[in-house]
Amino acid sequence: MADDHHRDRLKKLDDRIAEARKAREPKPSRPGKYDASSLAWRMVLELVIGMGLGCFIGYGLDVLLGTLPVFLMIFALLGFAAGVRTMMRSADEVSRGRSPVKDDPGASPDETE
Amino acid sequence: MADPVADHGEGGGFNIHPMDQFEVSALFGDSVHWYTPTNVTLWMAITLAAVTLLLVVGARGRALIPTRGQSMAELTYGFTRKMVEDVAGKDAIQYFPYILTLFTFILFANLLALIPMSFSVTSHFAVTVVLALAVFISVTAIGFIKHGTKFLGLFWVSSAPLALRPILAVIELISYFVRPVSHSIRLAGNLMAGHAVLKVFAGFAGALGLGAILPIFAITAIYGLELMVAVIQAYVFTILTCVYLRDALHPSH
Repeated sequence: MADDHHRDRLKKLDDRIAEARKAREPKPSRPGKYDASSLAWRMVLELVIGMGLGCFIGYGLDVLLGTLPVFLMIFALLGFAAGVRTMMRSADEVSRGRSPVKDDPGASPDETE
Repeated sequence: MADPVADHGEGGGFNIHPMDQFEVSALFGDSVHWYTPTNVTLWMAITLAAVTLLLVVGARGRALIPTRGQSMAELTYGFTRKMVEDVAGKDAIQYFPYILTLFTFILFANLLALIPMSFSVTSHFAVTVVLALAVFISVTAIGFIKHGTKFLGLFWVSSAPLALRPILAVIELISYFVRPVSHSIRLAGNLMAGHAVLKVFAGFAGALGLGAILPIFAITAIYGLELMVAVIQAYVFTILTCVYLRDALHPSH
């Protein structure tokens, strides 16, 4: 009886300590909170750079091989796709709130070190 | 460099040279060679001194109840460490010194650039490209060292049909190379744009006489915005470094 009472109180204290600890714990930093304009700026940049990089690579290949419009056209399209892909990935990252890496050791058993 | 933006009516006119502040000039003498100490060198040294002052001198006391300086140093350290752990994972903590170095350097360079008459180091592509390339090369090297050729699986989308995979691999490769470019352009572009805008408004204020009160208000507001941009850009640069590091450490996802 008295023991039960004691345990109850201990348990309550435990809960309170856990609660207090939780309240004090710093929240996981949310990278999504930096302002939206910087995000928009980032996505536009990625789109444009993807396209530009594609054109650059295509033009370089064309100059080397002497086939001017062919690779430029192909790589402009590929670069555009790459830009969209990068942009979608960063949008994805933000919408997920950039969830931290899951720390299950089974995820990467192929690690050599 | 830049032409006068507009001519004012009565003879005087106002010459606004928003890009003049970014000119690299030698500290001693005129000619600039690769070894000449310039204003870039000077302000980088000041940045390093400020970082050292905060993180080495400020934290020297190691008091249980920290002084103001130590408290700020500890906050910076803790904030960055938490960011590395949250974004890049627990096993990325061995690269934490490098990331803290990047963060404090860019943060202090950005903030020191806001002091009037100072020089904004990070508004130069030469500086930010080196920073971004260092991140790009080291992250790629880490990926290859940790995973060997399996790291190339990052470019090989195994969920796509086989015929599409080579095309997707090219796309992934290009988008991998987008990273260092956007990484460097974002930082330098933000800084340069902000400082140029400040200069343009300062030029208006000089020409408007009593009406200068409006541009001065605008400058005050933009200065506040620039303060935010300086911190945010340092933060974004660092967090993207963490994201790239995570991709190098866990390429299979």
